Amino acid sequence: MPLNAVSAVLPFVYALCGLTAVGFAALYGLRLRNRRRGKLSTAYREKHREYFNYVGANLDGEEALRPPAGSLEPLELRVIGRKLEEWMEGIEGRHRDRLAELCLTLGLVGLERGRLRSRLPWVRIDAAHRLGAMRAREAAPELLTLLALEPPGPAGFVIARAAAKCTRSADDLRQLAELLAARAPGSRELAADILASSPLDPQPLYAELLQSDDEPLILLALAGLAGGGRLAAPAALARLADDSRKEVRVKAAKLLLAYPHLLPNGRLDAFLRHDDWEIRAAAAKAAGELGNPANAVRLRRSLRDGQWWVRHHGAVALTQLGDTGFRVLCETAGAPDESPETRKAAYDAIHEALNRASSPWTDSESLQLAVRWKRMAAAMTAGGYPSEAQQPAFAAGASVSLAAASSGGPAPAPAATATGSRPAERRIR
Amino acid sequence: MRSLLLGYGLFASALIIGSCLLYFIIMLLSRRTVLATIQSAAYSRFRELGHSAYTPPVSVLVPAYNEELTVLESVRSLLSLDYPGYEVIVVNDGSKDGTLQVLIEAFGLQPSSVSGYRRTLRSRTIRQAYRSPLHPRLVVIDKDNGGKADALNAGINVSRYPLIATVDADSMLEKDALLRLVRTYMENPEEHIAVGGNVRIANGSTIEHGMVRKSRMPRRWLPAIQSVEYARSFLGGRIGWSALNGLTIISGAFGLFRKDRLIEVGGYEPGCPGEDMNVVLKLHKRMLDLGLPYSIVFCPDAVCWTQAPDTLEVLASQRRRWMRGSLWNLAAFRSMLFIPKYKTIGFLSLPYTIIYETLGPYLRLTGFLALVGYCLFDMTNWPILAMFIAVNALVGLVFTCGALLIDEMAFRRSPAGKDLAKTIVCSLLMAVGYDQLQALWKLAGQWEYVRKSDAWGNMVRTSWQEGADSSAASPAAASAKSGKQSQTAKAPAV
Repeated sequence: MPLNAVSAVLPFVYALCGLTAVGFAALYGLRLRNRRRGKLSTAYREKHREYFNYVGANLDGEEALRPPAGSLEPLELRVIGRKLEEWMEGIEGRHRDRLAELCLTLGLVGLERGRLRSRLPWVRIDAAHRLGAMRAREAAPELLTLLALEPPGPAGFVIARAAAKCTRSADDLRQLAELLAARAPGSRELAADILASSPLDPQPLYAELLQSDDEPLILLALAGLAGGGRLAAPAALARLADDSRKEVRVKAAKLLLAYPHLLPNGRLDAFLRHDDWEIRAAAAKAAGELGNPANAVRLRRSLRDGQWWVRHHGAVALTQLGDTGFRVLCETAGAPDESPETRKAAYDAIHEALNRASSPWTDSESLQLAVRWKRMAAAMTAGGYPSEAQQPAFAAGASVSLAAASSGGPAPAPAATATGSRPAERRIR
Repeated sequence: MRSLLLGYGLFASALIIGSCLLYFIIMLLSRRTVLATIQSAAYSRFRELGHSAYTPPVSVLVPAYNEELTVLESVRSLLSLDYPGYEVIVVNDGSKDGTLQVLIEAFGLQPSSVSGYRRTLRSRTIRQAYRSPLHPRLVVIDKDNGGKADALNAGINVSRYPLIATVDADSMLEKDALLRLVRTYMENPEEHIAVGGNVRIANGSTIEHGMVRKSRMPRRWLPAIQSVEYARSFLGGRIGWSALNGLTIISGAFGLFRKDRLIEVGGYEPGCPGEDMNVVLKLHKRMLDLGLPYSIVFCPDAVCWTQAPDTLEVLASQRRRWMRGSLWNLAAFRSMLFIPKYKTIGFLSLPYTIIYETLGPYLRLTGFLALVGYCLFDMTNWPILAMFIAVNALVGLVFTCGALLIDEMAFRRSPAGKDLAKTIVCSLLMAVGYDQLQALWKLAGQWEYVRKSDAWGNMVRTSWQEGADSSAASPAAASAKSGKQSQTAKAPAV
């Protein structure tokens, strides 16, 4: 019996031994190959040092860069390619174009395009990555086809970035945007970042996509425009800010509110009164950035909002409106008829502003402001909010412990705080 | 009696073989995702994302309790990350040593208020917030002691950004680690609600200015064995579980979460000895209850370096706590077992944890003892015992080899020369001593759970510089260590 038991387990032991042997042999082989390649690469880099110097020195020249003299081993060619890729990742414009041309002349682009057709997925991914690094415009159609065929997953983003770097025309860029929006509709920011790797400016494409009926494409365009650094297609955005789809509406409005000085009259007020709290919060923030004291009255309304974010941005915005805004905050913090949430938002903003203005690293103008505001706060909130116990420290502008804020009441139960299960919005009027 | 001992010993062997086969099946089922993950890790370049306007901002939370020896290097490493927009919130959880003082002195902290404090989760009272004019990204919160979970909840309340990264105060991130974690999140922000990083052992490595300059296998045997254990767990096990959306834990040492989802589930569970496992299971349950698509994924290329215990006493204490955490969570989430809507978690992950984490120690230890007893009856039957040990050792070696292969293929980071030999020896040693010790510690942990003991145990911290030196078995380094009630929970074994 015992020997039978041993012999029953033996096949499994042999299998494990075999697996271990194969595994370690593979590991050894991989390490040996990597080490050998590493050594050869170092040797080839040393051998071609003069050539790299020549390329570096002639990047500004007019004449096309020449390949190194003599015939090259395949690995030698790859080593030169890696060095050029490293440079191309760090530079832009004409210099990069000249290096891309050199890669083509050297035959590196053709070599990698051949590898794109490999049956092994990791070879294809490697080739795509190399082609992207070399900005091989000739490979754009193949990369786009490869992306379309690649199953959804992280490897697709490697191909997509390579395709973006190789795009030749607005059509390529649009095709890539459509593929990304269809394959990974939720990955809008990553898709926008990938599209930004293109040598072409994607902003006109985004403006065009705003006219589309396809929601993932519109959302991709809105995400792309959000990182663009300038306001594009304001008319389309204004239309989309009234869209029936909430995500589209909110993102479009936020884009418009990122440039509040360009908003037409009355639009900011409409956003401050909007039904979506996300838009009201963004509008309150924008009103602060405008710095116009005339908005203080409107922002007072934000302080009474049912949503924490609206109250918070409204209160912070009031501190950006000078004495007028700060007076509104003090009045609100000291008004016994205001709700505790409203007064708390005002109090927190006052506290934050005073701390900021009176910090040891602030300029003299801010210090004067701090002194003035401390007096104002002391005068206007006396007997009101904050509590008597906190009053002296508050009036002196000293740093008050957050203890009061953090122990001021029980936290809401998880279900009530859940984003997905939040009770219907309530506005405190 | 003899046949009973033999039968039991063989049953235990069969279960160990079963665990091995199960892992092979998991890797086989998820081979496409595993390959894609490895490829993506190898070819993703981060120059663009590191300066991108599209990268979402992150609040990095660092709970610290009696971490005066390690916290400075950790915070320095966090302040020098390649990431466009982030804040570092160190939560001093009522430390009894000079954790707060060293932070104040090193970073020139000044008392401050916190903008946008919102009490969405319960936590103990915050005494004071501090900011540094020299490091605007840094916020330090001093609060009453409430445990790691409580400190993390306080940090979430203070955080300004929609993504939360948690990092232990005795750990250091590689410069691009956060970027890699966020890249994985950005691949599907709607569904990737949590992303776990890869934890490696830093004992013995060269550390300068908050960075691991040269990684080496720890010279002392105990951290070296743990290094192999971590590699197996993270590079072998977690990639496979992640591909099946069956991860039950994201290491407390380094993970990324969507803040809204954390708040939805009530944040971290104060008093739970395995709060990192707890929060992941809560997220699974919540999403599966709501029927929403989601993934909790592992990112092997986002590397966090941490210190491993280098004495048996400290290691035993850590493992007992991990076992208590597992049991606590299994009891809390038992209602998920074998319920169709809980999918992989209900049918695979939790049963696996019960069989191999909870019952496994009994089986490994008693199976071994049964076969020893059987052989004592008749010494000519020693091949049975040898076979049991050989199977254990080979199964471990296969996992070690798999982890090394992944490491080499994706990151070209597998150990070489003497370090490779040491890795193989450690892997074998695990089967003939370490596993049995682990089984004992786990049993002790189960006993503590039954007795409702909730001590964190004594974790001894070494400063990072000493950590590198002490790996050379410097006894002097031990005297520089401070006693600590550990708040860390990193990686249960595979």
